Amino acid sequence: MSEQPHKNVVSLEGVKGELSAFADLVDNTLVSPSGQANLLYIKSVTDAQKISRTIITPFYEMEDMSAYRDYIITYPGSEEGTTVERALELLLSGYAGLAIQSRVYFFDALLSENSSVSQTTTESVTQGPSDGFTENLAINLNLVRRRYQSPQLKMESMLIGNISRTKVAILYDESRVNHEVLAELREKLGTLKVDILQAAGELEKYISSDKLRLIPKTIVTERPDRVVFNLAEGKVALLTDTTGFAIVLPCIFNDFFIAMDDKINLPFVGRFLKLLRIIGVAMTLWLPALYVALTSYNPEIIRIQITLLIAGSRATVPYPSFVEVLIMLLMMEFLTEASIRLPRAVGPTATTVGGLILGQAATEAGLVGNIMIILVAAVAISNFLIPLNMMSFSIRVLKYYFVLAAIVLGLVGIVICFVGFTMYLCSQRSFGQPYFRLFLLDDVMKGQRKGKGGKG
Amino acid sequence: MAKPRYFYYLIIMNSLINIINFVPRELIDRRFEGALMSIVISVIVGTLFVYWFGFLISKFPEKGIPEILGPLMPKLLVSAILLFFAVLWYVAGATTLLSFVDITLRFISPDTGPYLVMGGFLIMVCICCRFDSLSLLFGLEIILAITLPLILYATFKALGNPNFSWDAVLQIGTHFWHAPDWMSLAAATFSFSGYINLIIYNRVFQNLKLKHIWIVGIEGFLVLLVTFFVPIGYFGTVGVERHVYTWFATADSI
Amino acid sequence: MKRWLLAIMLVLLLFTGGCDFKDIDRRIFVVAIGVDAGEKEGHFKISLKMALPQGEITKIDEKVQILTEESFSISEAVRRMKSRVEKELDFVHCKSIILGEGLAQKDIRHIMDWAVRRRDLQLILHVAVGRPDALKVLQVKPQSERIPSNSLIMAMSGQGTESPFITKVFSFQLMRNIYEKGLDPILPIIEARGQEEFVINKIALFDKHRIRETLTPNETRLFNLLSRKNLRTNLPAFYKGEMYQYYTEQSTSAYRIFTPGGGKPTLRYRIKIKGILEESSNEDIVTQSLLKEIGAAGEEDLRKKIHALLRKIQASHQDPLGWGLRYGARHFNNRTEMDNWNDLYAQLRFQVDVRVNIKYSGVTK
Repeated sequence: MSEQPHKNVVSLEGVKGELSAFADLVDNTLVSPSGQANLLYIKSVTDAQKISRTIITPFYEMEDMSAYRDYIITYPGSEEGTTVERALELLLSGYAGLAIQSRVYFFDALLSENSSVSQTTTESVTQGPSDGFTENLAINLNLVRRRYQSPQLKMESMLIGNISRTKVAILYDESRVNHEVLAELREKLGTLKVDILQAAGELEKYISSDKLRLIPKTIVTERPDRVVFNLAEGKVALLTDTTGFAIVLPCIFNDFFIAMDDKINLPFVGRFLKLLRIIGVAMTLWLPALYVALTSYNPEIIRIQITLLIAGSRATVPYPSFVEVLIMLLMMEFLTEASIRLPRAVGPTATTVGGLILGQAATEAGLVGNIMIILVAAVAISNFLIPLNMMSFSIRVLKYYFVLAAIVLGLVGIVICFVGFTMYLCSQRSFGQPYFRLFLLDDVMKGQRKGKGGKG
Repeated sequence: MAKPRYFYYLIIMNSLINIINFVPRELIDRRFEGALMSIVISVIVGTLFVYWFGFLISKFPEKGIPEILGPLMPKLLVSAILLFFAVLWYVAGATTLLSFVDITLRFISPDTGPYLVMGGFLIMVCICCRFDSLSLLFGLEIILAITLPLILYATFKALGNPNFSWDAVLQIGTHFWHAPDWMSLAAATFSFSGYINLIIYNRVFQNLKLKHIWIVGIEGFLVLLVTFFVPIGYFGTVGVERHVYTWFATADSI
Repeated sequence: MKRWLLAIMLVLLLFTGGCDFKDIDRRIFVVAIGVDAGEKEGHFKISLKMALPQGEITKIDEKVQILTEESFSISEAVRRMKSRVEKELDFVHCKSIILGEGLAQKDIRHIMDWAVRRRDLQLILHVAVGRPDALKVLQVKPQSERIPSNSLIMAMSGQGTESPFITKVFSFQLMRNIYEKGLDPILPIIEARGQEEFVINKIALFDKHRIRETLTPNETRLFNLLSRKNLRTNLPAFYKGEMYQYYTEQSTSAYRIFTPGGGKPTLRYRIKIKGILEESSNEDIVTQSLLKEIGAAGEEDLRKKIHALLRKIQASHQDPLGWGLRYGARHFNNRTEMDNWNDLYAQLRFQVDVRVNIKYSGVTK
């Protein structure tokens, strides 16, 4: 623990040597009647005002060096310097190095440029809190702790990424969490070797164990109330610095269809909305595939009126139904993707163009039947009923598999694909917990045994 | 680990598949010669088998047949037995698959190439084989939850149809007092043989409680009655044997 | 392992071209089939009524095409018609098959066999006899029809009009009745009157091959009363020289075959009707006691008419209502019961108990 004094002094010099070509490195010597101190910090990551206020000013106000040193030692966020690597780490992460009386101390003066707490952008709710996580870990922790004031809410901290050194906080409720999941998570994070970690989604990629990842197995959310709700259920939350999203794990398929709105509304309204979402998912997955199957393979299933209508609307279309479907779906995808990336100036133009093209013009030109327009619009809209984005995107891509199955085998293909998909979902494990099951029966039985209703 | 109710799912799945698969043809062919008596006897015999097998295998919690036989018999014998069983069940599975492909080809996609349909089914079966037993049980539960209401709805619709001839059903009922014969007995008890799946699925059952075995008996009885009588109600006592795919024709007539 | 499966899947995808992928606008849907006796002896004349799809939804008007072909076999005729259209003939939406009366008087077994044996014809085709022949019935195009042959289907299935004179017979029923012991088939008769009108109000009684007897519209109505529940119709009652008509709100009919001790075998029908007075040629106010009298008069009238109908059926030696099957279903002597029934049938006596309860007099007294 105790280093040779002159080694510490050397270390501040040595550290400076490592940080050559750092134009934002500031090396100051504070000289006062009572003593001298060397100050080393990187300007771009430290708060100059804070340094001036808490380090420089007291230095000139205090008479005694030892008193100043005690002040520095007891200041929150200060640490004694040990090795060169540690010193580098601290300096790079916004600490200021102070060499006093042949000892080196490091001082937390981090300046984080970030936006203050703002509204959620990807998950919206009609009534209820709409503040979202920001890029600053401390603020995020604040948002969570304020809502979950319990001594059981433990926090563990880790640094991930050799270069990015992103701070990751693991939050869990000790009394409710599943300790196996926690152990597995710690192991995974501990053995993670990656250079840069910037987004929560990346972290999800690294800790997931499945090779063929078709559906998300952790919830990525920017809402503190969702995180708090899940913590109370016994899940583990990962908060990452420099990104405004949190990861919650383990999760089940069902979790992706819960919007925080359901808790606010009356129960039967909440259940209706949930049913609506499930119908939306069913529609967006199967409607295009069903169209291909029913028009080209098995027209006997639909009524004769609709059959004749579809046949009539396709009379001018020169190519088979699956080409029509794929073209329309792809156009819809282009529109959706472009509207995310559009610069603000071009925005309205694109939507107008998209609406016009996909709407009237294509039908009038006889390129697609007008039933297709309704179909594609329904599919696109119902896709966004899913509250969480990762699942929404997954479903968006999965429907093409169903269309493919329908092209090859028709209705049989859709059924086979459906069974396969169900089996695949059931074989998923989210951190050892089963992902897709009929939890309803378990809840019902648990509820009966408890004498009250289950979690619904 | 799986709760005991998954055991019932295995049996119910087997019964439901065999409503349309092999059982009706055997029973209906012998409708004048003892099919009804076979049904009644098979309910008793079948339930007994289910209970017996379940009871025996629950003595080896979380072990499948290979693990049970392994320590007890010489390795060669165990391998021979397992090989025999494997071939037997492979043939059984292949036959079921072929039967369904046949029905699909006849009725749902008449002009699709048979190899294509077969290939599609095979690919899916092979993919699903690679999952672990517990996941397959979960998936079975979900698929049963989706299809069971549909089956019940179809059954009630079939029975409530005004064109359903109850007289024909009763006419066959008057042939009740006829000695049963082996084929129809075998066919009727096949409806209960879902317990065979337990030889491997026992690996996921910790405590197999067989408290509600009477459900199996009642369910088997109802399923056998439905699979036997509904085609007769629609096609009459004589005409029913002329249909090759009895249940598909029945479904067509509802 | 996974690579292999992927490879197999991709190869299978290449087979897409060879499979049953036929777009909906490459099919032409047959909505009704008509079968007549051909010019030559033993030949069939098959007519197919096809629906042509419309492009513009706003100006929908039905377009129909009827093709006729004659050949010595039905399948041959259909195949020949395939080369007379540019799209694939598709029978999946075919809902009715009409047999010409001339053909029905010779033999319907052959056609019934074809209709049931083909896998792409549904078993719930409405079967009927067409008068004067099937082609004329197919050519009828009522003004209110939007989709080809829809008017016929709606009338026959009861989805549209619920007439007490219309009986519907599905092809699986026809097959069942032809093969069953103790039950004989019937078919409704559709008459084409001109180009725009058809009339369905008679029933033809068949033996296992051909028409034996035809029932008049009145008898058809009574037949439907006996075979169905809750027939909606009006029935007459004559009381003190005045004619009344009552509407049957609810009706049930049940029968039993029994032999009273020492007597002749009897078949007893019990009919219960709950009615509302619909028409009264009397000017007086209708009172409750008058309703009772009218009910009694209605019973008497109905009893006579039904008795006459049952006698007619007995005289034709056919069993359309399935009495024989009921007899067999109630008796356990399976080997001899059908012979017993045949002996019984000729000597069967009929007893008809009608109970008509006219509860309301409509909205006026």
